[in-house]
Amino acid sequence: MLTLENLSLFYEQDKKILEDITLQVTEGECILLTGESGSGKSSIINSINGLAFEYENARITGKVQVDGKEIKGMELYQISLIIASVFQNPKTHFFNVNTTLELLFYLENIGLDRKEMESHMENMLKVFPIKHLLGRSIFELSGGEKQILCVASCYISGCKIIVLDEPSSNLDEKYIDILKEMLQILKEKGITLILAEHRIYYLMDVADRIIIIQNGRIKESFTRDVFLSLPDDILYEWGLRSKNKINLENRQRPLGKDLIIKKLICDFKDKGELRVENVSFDLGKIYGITGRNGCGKSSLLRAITGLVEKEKSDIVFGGRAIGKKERLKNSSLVMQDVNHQLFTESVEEEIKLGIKDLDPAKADKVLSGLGLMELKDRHPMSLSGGQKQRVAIASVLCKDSRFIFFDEPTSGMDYNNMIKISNLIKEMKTENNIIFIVSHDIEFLNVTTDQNLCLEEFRVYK
Amino acid sequence: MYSVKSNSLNPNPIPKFFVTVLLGFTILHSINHYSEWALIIVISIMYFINGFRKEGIQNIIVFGILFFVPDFTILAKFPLVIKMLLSLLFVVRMFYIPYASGKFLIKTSDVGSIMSSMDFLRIPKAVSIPIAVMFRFFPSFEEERNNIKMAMKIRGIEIKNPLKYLEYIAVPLLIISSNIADDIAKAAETKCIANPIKKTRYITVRVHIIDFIYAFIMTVIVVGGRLCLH
Repeated sequence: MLTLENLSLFYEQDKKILEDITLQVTEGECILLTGESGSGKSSIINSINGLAFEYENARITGKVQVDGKEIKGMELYQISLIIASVFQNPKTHFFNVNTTLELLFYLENIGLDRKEMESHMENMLKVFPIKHLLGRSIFELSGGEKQILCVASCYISGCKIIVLDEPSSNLDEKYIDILKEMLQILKEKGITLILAEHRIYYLMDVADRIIIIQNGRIKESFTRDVFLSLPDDILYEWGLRSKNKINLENRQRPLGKDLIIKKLICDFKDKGELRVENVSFDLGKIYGITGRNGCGKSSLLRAITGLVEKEKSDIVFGGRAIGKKERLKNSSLVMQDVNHQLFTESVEEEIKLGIKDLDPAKADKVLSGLGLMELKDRHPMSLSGGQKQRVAIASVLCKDSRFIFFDEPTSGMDYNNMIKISNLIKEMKTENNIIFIVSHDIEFLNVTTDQNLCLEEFRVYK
Repeated sequence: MYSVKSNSLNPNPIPKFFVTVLLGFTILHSINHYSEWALIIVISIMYFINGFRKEGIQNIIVFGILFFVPDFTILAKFPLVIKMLLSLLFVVRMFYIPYASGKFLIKTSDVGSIMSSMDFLRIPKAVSIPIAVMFRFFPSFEEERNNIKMAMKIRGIEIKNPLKYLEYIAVPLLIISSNIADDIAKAAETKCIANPIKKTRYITVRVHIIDFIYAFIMTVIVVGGRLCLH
């Protein structure tokens, strides 16, 4: 049904991203492409759905054919009539603000009349019971709900091929299970699925073939049974995540003596509240903060850092009450999308920003420790994703904060990079700070944190 | 019929757009002060009945402050520095009324109704698609801007020096804006928005009585305000 033949992909003149990819996908098959970050798995997806040459000015050689028809040279809308796409970050990948209109948008664009649209919708709702998501604003939905809507809108389109680029990277365990169920249903319906993923455990019942991509080439190709029989060590060597579901360790409520949250309430109006009471943390420890999508992890993080104007809190540090302003002064944050927090024109300026009298020796030590010394005159926005994240970490290290927060630092990261970040965070730990990590990445939390705070028990739903 | 939130107190985008263009004339052809206040109050009432209380109150307060900025004839008598500062504010005041109605249009219209309205007016796709993407851009932009502001606050960058503040916020804002615009365009293109066939719209533009009331009242105020000056 879908054929890639000697596919190579170049950015600019001669920067080769993919080399000689040959792949035959039969109808109804589910193919999992996996490999390290930057190995080229997303580029294969973007070569199939046409985004690579329309949006990234890439040049391809070789063939990409669907039912014998060459994709190259087709307009994007022509490709989209045969192939539907799900993206990594559903946050901005919606055109409509209203969820019902988003589901119907494709049908409007192919010119179906209202009756046909309604019958498509009814049919979809029979397959995926998501009526509760209709008629809402996408800004009200959690990350998990948005991704469900994305997959549902691919099904409603009636396309026989769906490509998915890291669909689970912003999802919690519950929504990963839902996504898995949805993919299973799509497969039963005979839809061909091609996924690029670094988190692979949830696909072990769905994928028919697993293809390992390394440096833009197909390194290995396995059937599911053969892949399942491989030892974990080999997978780690290839930079892959575990193929088994991992459970969170250290789940008991943190009880320390240095930072005590006597009471902290985040009000979500008609969606209830997060009421955290009597939780305490020790200096010199790393704490994970977990919980379902939309349970208030980011809100808690903002509230502890003192970024929320209206909040009710009673927080004690070192035996005395610590107010919002003081918490803000003593906090640092590495955001999930580090593009939000790089402000200056060079890496060196960036780490000095907001810090009075930074000792140059210390700045140099931090920069060389993170491998940023050669990049210190570069514009932060010209760096790769991983380098940008290290710049953000460098600025946190220079600030010497008491409370350091990480928001989903490993989303979309392969095993080796995840371990690197984990080691980096562990090196940041001193007797003078407390590190908090908000994450869904259980594998990462288990190797990084000393204790974990599960927010479910503090969440009150209306 | 699947419900798509439709509010009979929210005019469709066509009268809102008409009013914004109409109020654009008040920049160069001034109207009397009572009419200006009447326009602002109507816009605030529209905000209120559509559930945007904060915006409604904000609108009145901001105009209330700008209202007391002296006009050019009085400004001419002030010393140079004050003259420069106040004339900047006066320019803001001149643009405020059309800005307020434009903001009302953006805040209360979703991209679906904008697309339907433009189809209704038979605006060509080459114009309507970029406009629709632009409208979809604003709410995402707002969300991302708040994240950047949060990052600035935690890094200790304050608004004390507005020029420095603008310099710092510009870099992430531009990068993020370009990413958002790309993502929205990708979302639209992979859903066949550029398909050249005749499209259907699930929500059609429905004309409510509020559309006429809004357009009529605003026109009467502008025309009346203009006539009163003569």
